[in-house]
Amino acid sequence: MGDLINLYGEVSASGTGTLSLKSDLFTNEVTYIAIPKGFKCKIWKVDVSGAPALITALVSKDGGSSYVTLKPLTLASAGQLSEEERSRPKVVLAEIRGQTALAFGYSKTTSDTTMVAITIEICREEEDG
Amino acid sequence: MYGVTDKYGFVNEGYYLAVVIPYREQFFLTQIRKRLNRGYEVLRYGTIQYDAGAGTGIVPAASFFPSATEQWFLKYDPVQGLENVPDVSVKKDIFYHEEKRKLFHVKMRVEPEFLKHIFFYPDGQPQVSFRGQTALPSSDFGTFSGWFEFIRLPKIYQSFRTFNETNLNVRTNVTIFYAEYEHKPIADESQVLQILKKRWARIITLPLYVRDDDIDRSLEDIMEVPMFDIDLIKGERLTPGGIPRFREEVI
Repeated sequence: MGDLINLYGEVSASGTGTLSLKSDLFTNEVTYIAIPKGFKCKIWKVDVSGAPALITALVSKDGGSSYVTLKPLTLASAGQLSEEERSRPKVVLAEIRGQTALAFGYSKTTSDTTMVAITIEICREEEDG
Repeated sequence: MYGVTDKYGFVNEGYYLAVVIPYREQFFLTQIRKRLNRGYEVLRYGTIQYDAGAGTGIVPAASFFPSATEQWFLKYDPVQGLENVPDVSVKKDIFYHEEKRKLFHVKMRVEPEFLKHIFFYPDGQPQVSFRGQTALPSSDFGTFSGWFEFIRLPKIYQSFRTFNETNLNVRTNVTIFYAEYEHKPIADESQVLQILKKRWARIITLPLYVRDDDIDRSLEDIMEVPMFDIDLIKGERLTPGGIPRFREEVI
């Protein structure tokens, strides 16, 4: 087991963008997580609550210049949606060049607040999973 | 079952510790006579006591810590109960000592584990290199992450430098497990052979590849331990891959 990182972001405005993420592990607010070389990043849990929104996991392989969508999660109406993997994470990013970054995008049509809680793990490349 | 080591990998009383010093191509073998504070091996150290501009114990994003040229020590500061330690040496490095028959066996975990570190032993002296290039904490070789294990010899400070590859200003936490040995070196070669043959020793190879006068002085002048040729340790296997923290085996 590597480092489990709890991320939190919220957005009120309608439209599309990238979530600003906070955590108890780090002190700055970031729009992406740069994955250290030789490490993997696993997404264990995504929790969306509040106003309806489409949340997408995005990955960059060029240091954050461009992103591709890996996984969408749609909260269709106001409420809460939780997706948790207890045994094997659905998304595993392996980092070998020092250029991988993980971000979370949003798309929403209302100006009510959507809150997103995410649990990721950063572990060594040689660990299973 | 009472074996050579306990659940932490520390040597139990009565058994033996063999410490290999690679640059000398030698090792010493010593019997652990006493373990002080047995049962209280955990030292909840807390954050690394340096401020590199983002707050004490916070390693700034994409940077060296404390800086590209400085090192950090396991200072006494965050350890509750050590406030009144009078010894300045201990204040700089909690495992520094000058006793002939004492060894600290230290295992520490630095969180988060994705930070990369190099160690200096003695302080200021990097030990790991590849093809003549000394490892930096930002190097792709010669660094450790997470766990680090070492035997602390007398009169030598140890220090570290860290690199944070991420874009996060991360909070650090250090947890230490340690054993404080009082030991008695074995001088007789035939006894050494017998102990190794009976598998009564844990062998630890310290990753010391650069000849250093301070280490030689610690071994020869302070500890006065008899050193034996590496040839006496037979059958030890090299650990394939991994970080060159140390290689170990109970033979």
